Amino acid sequence: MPDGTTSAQMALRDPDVRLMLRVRDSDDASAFEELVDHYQHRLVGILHHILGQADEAEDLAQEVFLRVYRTRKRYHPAAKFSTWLFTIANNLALNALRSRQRKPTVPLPAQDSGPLGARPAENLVADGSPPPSHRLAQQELAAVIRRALTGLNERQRMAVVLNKFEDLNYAEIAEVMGLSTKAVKSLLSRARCRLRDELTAYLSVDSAFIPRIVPPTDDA
Amino acid sequence: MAAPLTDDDRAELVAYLDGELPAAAQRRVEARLNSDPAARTEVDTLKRAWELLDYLPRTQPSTDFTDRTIDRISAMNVASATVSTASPIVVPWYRRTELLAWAAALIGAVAVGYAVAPKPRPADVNPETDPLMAEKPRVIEYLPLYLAAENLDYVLTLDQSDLFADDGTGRGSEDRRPARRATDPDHRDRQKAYLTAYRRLAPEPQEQLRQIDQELHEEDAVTRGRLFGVMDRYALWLSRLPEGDRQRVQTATAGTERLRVVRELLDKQWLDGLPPARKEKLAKATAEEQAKLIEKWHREERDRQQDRMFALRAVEEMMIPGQPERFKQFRDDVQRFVRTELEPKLTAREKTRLQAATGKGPGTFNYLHQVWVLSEAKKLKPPGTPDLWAPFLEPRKPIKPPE
Repeated sequence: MPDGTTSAQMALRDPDVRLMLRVRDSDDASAFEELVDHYQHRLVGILHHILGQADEAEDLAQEVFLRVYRTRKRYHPAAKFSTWLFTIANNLALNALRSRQRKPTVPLPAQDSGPLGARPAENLVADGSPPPSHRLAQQELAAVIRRALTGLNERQRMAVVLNKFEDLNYAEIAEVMGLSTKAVKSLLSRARCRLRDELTAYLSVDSAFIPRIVPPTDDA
Repeated sequence: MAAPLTDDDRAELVAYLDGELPAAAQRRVEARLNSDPAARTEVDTLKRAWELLDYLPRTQPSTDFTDRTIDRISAMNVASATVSTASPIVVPWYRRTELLAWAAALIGAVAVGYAVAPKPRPADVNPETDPLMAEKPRVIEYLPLYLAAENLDYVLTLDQSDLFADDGTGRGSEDRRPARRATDPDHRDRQKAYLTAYRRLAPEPQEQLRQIDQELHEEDAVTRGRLFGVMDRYALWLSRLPEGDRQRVQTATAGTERLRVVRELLDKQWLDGLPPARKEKLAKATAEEQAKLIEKWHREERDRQQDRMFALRAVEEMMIPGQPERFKQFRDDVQRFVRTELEPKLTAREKTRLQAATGKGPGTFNYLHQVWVLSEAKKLKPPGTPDLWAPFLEPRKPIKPPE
């Protein structure tokens, strides 16, 4: 095998690398399916946070997997499989965002409305009516937080999402985004300060009044 | 008084929160936090803002995400098969324990409707090396379904007839995920049987099968999934028919004529399956009464089927973490809304309607559908998000009386 020791070591550490090597070396359908099964939730979740739209996130996640498959013969395990996958996701997401900026016809929604339009609770929020339940308070808060997140620039947003939701450390984020660790530190610092400034009014929210377990799903 | 915080200080504080500082730098930050209230406030607000991100809902991919992805890769492989030497990832016909037996029976039976080439059966077909598997993997994998369906127009006719719609029993809805070859011991045997059957067909029916495959895969993923379900249920039904009935179906022209035969056989099966008491009742009834009874029983059956579908969907929904609490909250909110806002606006007749719909409880399809309808009529906005209401917006499908 051309990858020699590195490949063997990585494969030993990361079972997903082993799966990807099966896809690369023998076009193993079941191994690829396992990878898709395993990463689809994380990938769609990340991309939704980056792009702000659930349906676009799902389409792009599919593109990421297609890219993985198309480039399988060139796969060389140099890190965890997830790092490689997120690198591809990062590149495609940034392309999608730039393409959207060139054709600014698609608005970046700040609400979590589904295809049926604004949810009843969102309408109430828009009306300025007082929140009648905890769930409404939570939805309102989620909409504000998503607005704050989409207000970050694309690289800050990516760094935040990888750090917060994928628990990647600075070195891993640097690898995914092709930056130095120092640049990631500065990026995250600016992003977090900006988020804090945007969310200042909500920092005093008593978490006892906002049950966290209620909305595990989104409008995907 | 401590010096104001610089950008570098803030970066250090954030890195401290993230556990990214080396030991010496961490001690420096801790010392500053002990002595500088502004730094403490900064860390506290940064930390709380970060925790707020936990309130963002988590997006779930569609349930068929993996299927659609694998499907696209399969299509990509088929398209590039002529120029690429890479062996394609195939979407195999999903395994089912009884599949090989019924597929073999079906292939033998439906071949009556096809011109079978007088070629000898290949002595040893090897799916691993056979070029047909690289050229037409899907046609081979789905051969029993395509043979039974014959052409896409007929599949669409079957789909429109609703005769083989998903009835919530899971038939024909679970079997199109790609098989995991390693855990599917029958995979090779099945491919071998299908390859052999395909080769025995004359060029014209072979072309017909390729065409249905191509046309099906030109449909969008949702439609294709539904049509595969219809084909699966139809093929299974066909394979279980007595030989004479199956031949009647297969020799009728694919289209409305064949559909008429299918409907006739289904009606007969339905009548044969009635409980003895109902059969007796039907036998004693006049022709007019018989029609009314049949219509009534069909309606009841449809209601039961929709209740089952609703229950199944509810069970699937409840598998999502946190969903049971969410649905309970929804149900409680709706009950409160009915009591405080809706009921005061209802007429006596509407109240009776709602009461009748309550039936087995306030979480049933009928009840929630009635709440939705009456709220619309009164221009009230019931609590709950559209995804929670979506299953209850449409009334039960009207029954189609037997023709």
